[in-house]
Amino acid sequence: MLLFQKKAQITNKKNFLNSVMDYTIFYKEQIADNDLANHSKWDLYISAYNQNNRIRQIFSLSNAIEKHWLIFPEFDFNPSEYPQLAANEKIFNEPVSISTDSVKSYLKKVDITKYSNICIDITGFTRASLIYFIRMLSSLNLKKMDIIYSEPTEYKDREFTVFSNLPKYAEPIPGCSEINPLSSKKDLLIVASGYDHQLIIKVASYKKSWSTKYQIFGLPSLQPDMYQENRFKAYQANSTMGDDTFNRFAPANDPFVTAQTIQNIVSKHLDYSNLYLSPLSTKAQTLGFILYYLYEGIGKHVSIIFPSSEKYSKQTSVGASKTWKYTIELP
Amino acid sequence: MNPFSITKASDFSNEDIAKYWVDFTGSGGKQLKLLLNPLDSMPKFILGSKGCGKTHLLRYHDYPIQKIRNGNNAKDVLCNEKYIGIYFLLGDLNSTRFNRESLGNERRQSLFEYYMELFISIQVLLVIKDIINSLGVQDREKAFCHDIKNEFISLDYVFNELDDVIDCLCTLQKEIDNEIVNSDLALDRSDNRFLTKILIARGTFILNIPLLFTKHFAEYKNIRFLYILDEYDKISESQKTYINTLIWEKKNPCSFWIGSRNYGFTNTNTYHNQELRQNAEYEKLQLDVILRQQKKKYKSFCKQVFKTRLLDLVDKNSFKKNPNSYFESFNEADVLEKINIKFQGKIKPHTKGLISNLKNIIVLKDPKLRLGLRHNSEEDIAYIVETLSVPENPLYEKFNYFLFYREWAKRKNIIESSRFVKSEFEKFKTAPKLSEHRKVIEYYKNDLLAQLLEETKSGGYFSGLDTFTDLSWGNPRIFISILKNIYKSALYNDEKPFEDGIISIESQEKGILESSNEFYEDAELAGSDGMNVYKAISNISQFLRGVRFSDIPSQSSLSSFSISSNFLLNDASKIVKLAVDHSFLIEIEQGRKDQNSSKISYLYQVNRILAPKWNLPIARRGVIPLSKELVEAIFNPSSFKNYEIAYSTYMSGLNAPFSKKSTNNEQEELFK
Repeated sequence: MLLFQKKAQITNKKNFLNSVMDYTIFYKEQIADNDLANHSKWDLYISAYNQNNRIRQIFSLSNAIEKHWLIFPEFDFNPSEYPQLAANEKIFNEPVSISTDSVKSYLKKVDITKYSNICIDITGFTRASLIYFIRMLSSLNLKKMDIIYSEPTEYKDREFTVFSNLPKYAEPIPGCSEINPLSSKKDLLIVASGYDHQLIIKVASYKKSWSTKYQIFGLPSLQPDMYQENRFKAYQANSTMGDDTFNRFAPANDPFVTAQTIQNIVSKHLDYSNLYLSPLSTKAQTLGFILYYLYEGIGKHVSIIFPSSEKYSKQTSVGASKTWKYTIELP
Repeated sequence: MNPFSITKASDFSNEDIAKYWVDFTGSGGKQLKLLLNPLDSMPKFILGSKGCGKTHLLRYHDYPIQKIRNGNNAKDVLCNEKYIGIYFLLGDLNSTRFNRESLGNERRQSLFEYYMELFISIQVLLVIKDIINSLGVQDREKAFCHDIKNEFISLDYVFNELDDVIDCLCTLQKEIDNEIVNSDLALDRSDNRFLTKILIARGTFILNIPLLFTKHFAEYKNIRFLYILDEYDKISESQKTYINTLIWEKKNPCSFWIGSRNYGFTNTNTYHNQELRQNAEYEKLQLDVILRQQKKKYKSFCKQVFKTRLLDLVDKNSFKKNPNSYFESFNEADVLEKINIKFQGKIKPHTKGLISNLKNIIVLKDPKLRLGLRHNSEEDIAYIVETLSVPENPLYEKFNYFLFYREWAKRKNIIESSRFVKSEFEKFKTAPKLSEHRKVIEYYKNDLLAQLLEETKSGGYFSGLDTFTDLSWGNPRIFISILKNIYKSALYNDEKPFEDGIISIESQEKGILESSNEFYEDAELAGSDGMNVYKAISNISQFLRGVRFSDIPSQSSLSSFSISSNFLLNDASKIVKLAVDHSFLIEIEQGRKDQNSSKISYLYQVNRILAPKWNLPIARRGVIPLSKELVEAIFNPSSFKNYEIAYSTYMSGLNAPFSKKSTNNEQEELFK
């Protein structure tokens, strides 16, 4: 066996046996509005703007010295649609066409390392920008932050909700891709499948063939009927995903159990040639994917891939049920 | 176990590629074998739509499969086949990483070229390593490695064996990965801590390693090294230019086969400011066109594919001689009988339709518009229904209605028209050749039957292995996918497919419709253009369906349309091209002929596999020329809003009360 190959396999096994990261130690709590108002002040609160009232409400209630709105280009907001600002609030609307470039541009403008106590509401982020944002924060050595996530009561048109126009082809998220040059014979794909079957099709078509595929479904789902809606939509991608796909389940609102589930899957396939991760479901599960990548994917043949869209719907959900605060630490 | 569950050759193991190989050569396919000779030094671009068999064909020539068919003996591969195939997927490179602006224009192209050099070299060295070990000629390995080292621009490594070289190349490749990742994360572009030093000149390893092999292993100096690069469509234009340059610069013993979707073949540029010329620097093969054109050969190919797969489930000795006999076949007489039983004592849907149409005009005050019907006369309606009725055969009744509607469209007296049709029907019973019904049956029987089956919710239109072959239309994956879904449906219906009994029409239809929907959903369209293509295909399919299911279809077996070159402009042209690229529409070569001295028309057919989704015919017979307004409304995204009106206006000439006359002329031409 080639030394390079040997090293990769040993690294996979060794890291797994030695670290066996337990993501469930991270802290999550459900918070009410007065919890937010009474929470100790964050230095910086960041949120991604969309027309969901709940995001704006939480932004306004949250207790922070500075608050930043990020406006992502794919939502195509007019300045007349921007939120009204208080004295300690700012809008960042970068002149770029994709949200990952927005993130980079924002981080060039704002020295985020000077803030010791940060909170990010991930509800309105696009998944690609969320992954890249956390990846960037990790590369800037930010170690700890609070994350807010609000669950919707329901999606606007239930399983027929349109989240975006037809996605482009899947590609690796910047900063989140390394390839095994020797082999793709045992490529492993793990997808968190959401409502948009076209995203699943794009991801499954990213490579001509996969050795093994897994779909993670959100169960328990955010609302009781969302699981059935999710399965119905995911089935429409079945011919591309294939009947040989394995299904797993993780709570739709729990990034930590999601990360743990990924770890469990990978533990059974430590001889993978490349591992491809693709979070297509809730932002909470997306957070779980990036956590796994940061703790166990960097420096290995792991990539996060995502099919972005040119345009996203400004509002897809109705109401707000629970709001969660996750406290995460980055490696 | 579903013997048809794997539909993609990329999901096959190496053993499966060999096991499920069905040769498309022989008297009808000689052309393919000659064009795809791996010993030929001429590079080839092998193009085709998704599922046309490209991957299976290319992988069949890959070294591991060569070994399988030569008893796992490398020496036999070299002696018997005289070439070594090195197959890999350009999609495995994650090549979009090299398109990042953070790398800068020049740097990203240089990095891509360097990465490719390393990537391809690793693949070919892995194969050579296997050959050396199999032949037991390791004594020459060190000298070979020494010469490889001299191909580097500079390198501080010691190579004792090929494993050392491959390890080194992998390490160098990792440096590129690191540079890309760090450029993605760096906020400051001037940070050059991770800049990779490029140690190999472009093309050096790819083209020279095979030459070095023939030098050090001279007994195999005539062996061809065939690089098989699949998924050319997945790389960017500048990356394609690099591949084209390799082809331009190729030297013996190397050659190239490049696999791509049709739409991926977009440029023939090279770095030498020259373009690759077809038949001089490369040959182009369009696999799906060949399969579609070789109808008989394709049919027997499909039968063989079917048998090969079925061997996983059924013992060879219990194969049925006629594969069609595994499937229930459509029996027209039985279906018509069932319709009669179902509607015994009830009004059939087409009669309800006729009554409703007549009721709409008997209320009109103007007698000219009533075409001879008395005002509010239910008796007249009953008389017409009775006159046209053929209780024992609902299909003949449909023929009567068709002729009747045709007369109505000509604004003839309706009562007299019904009598005329009846007299023609009586003539048909005794002297069919003299009757108008003969022409209706000759041209429109399939359409009227399809109408009847749909109206009465009776199935059976698509059934039988020959139909699956026709539906697949030169695309083996569609053929297998239909069988896969039929098998699943049959199990769901508690049948024992291929093991006991026959597969019902219901299971077949369900499986076919599933395949049709899968093809539609899996088209890999993207972005706003993708959405527009979906909308356009929906428009044209609904339009063709509307004509087919009208009271007087203007063309028979309508699944095709023509567009004058004058009408195919700008955005409509772009959408049509995309639809052809993704095989929603098939461009029919014969369509490009002069209608008169100044016009050229393009002829298209909706892909047959989409026929079940919209209940269109599989066969191509009638062709409807689209007016400029229709072309715009159907295919131009900025005119989609006009589609409903354009559709209604057109159909008003084909459906009672036929307020628009113009479309009747096409039909009269047909009947002359």
